[in-house]
Amino acid sequence: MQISAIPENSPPGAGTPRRPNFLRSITLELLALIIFVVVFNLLAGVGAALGDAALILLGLAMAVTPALLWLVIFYRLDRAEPEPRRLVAGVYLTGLLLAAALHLPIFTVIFATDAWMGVYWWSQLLGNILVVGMVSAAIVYGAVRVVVFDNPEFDERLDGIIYAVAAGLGVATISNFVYVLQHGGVDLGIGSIRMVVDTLRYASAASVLGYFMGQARFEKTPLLYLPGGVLLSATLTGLYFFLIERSGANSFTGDVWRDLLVGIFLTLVIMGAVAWLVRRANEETARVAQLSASGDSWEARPAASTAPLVAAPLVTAPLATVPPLTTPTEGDAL
Amino acid sequence: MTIWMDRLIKPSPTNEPPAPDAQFRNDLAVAVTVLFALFLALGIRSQVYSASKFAALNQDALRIAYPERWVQRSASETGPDDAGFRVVNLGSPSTYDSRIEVTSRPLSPDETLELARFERGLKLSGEVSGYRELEAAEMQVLNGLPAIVAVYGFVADPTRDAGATGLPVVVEGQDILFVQDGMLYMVSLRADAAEWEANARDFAIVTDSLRLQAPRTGTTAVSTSSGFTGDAQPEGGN
Repeated sequence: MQISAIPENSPPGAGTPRRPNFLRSITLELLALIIFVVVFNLLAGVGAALGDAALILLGLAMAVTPALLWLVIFYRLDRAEPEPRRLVAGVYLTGLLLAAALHLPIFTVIFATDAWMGVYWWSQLLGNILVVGMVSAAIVYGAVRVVVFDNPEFDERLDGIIYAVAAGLGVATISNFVYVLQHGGVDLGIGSIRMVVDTLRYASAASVLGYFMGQARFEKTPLLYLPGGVLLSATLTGLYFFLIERSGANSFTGDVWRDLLVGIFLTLVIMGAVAWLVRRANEETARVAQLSASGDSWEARPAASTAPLVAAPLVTAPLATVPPLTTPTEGDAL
Repeated sequence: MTIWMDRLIKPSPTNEPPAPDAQFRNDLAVAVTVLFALFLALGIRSQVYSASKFAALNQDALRIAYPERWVQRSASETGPDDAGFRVVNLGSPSTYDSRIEVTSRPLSPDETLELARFERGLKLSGEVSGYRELEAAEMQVLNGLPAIVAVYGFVADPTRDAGATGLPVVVEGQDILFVQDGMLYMVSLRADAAEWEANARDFAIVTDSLRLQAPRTGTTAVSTSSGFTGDAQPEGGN
């Protein structure tokens, strides 16, 4: 379905180029991941015939596949104004390398998370948020900030999400690598589900941070805005891990299909919320530009006036072309 | 709520891009947030490590603390000779679960602490494989009661019972023997020798509750060479 709904108050140039629907792309991605899971579950019997080395190699290949699927579909999302492949790959690899470098020293040496996080429900929740979530959010932030944040190719809010998800996929890839290596290979059926669930949670949490980074790239933000984004992303990652681990299904004996369903549901909710936020932010930018041109002052539009979430189009707002409002009014600080 | 949502969507009243120093300020704020969170996590980890429960033995004659996250095993699992209890760390990375065992029995007439330690070593050398006493020292527990701490090692085969073919494990043990109100108490701390350091914090909960310390006159080595060796069948684990 081609998107044609462009808000009438968009800034000049906001109508072109047009994008495929955000949620439709996510749905495509989820379908691709489900196909990935189904294929490997059909091949589960083959795994028994493979040796340890072959299972490890196959597991490592499986660890990369969900991330690559994500990257391809997110790249497709941005095909109207595609980001340079080298930048997307660069952010992905930076996220991957940072995660590889930090995983052992942070999770094993400094925090020894295996020894204490699962003891109580509160230590599991807080540990997942403060260690797992914060470290992955910091890696995503660092990768995007260092590789692409100041690059002219980062020219719209959606790019923040695309690059942050790429970095998050780098973290997910290492998480999957560690899983394969720790288990001396991987069960094709359960392993494929586990990898997809991990990929979903890292990618969706990274998309939230990407939204905040997209905002901070183009607008003055209050001091606590980006830290709030990091905290929110870490909290989502931690809650994601907590829910799945506490559901008792995060093991070889549990119902991993339930993990997959929970993962898909949470991803749709988070990605849907991010899509809505990006669209609203672009609308607000366009409105401020119009007000600026007419000499009026900015005022927040009531949330109730927003359009429905589902199937809402993303609007490209080339922010660099938007003239600044010269007289800031109320609410300059958070 | 609405104002928070508005700020989330449109953090600035203008479309003005941020200045370079604002980006630096943002980086700094993010770094501080992450470091603070990690610092907080260290505190939570410490809280979990130090969380403990108390077990009472012989009608409250002895109260001993053990890590709260360790799991208590029933009396039947601790063997017919044991009058105390056993807790194990099911989260041990080794196939041999780290454990704390406390046993007690009345002290025999004319039996001294040193004799009890000798008997204990003799018994272990017949029960476990490759038993070797490494060191023993006089200490004090419970604010002044004399105690003997014996450090030993042996080989266990925890996977054997499960029918698996895993490697045997070298176990390091530390027995704390002392007499209180005519009862001989033996507090035994055991772990895979490779994991001993990782368990040190948990074992410290026990030794701290016993107030284990060197005697004021200084630690006296009771024996520093191997006291006993044994070649019995390996002790089962898990």
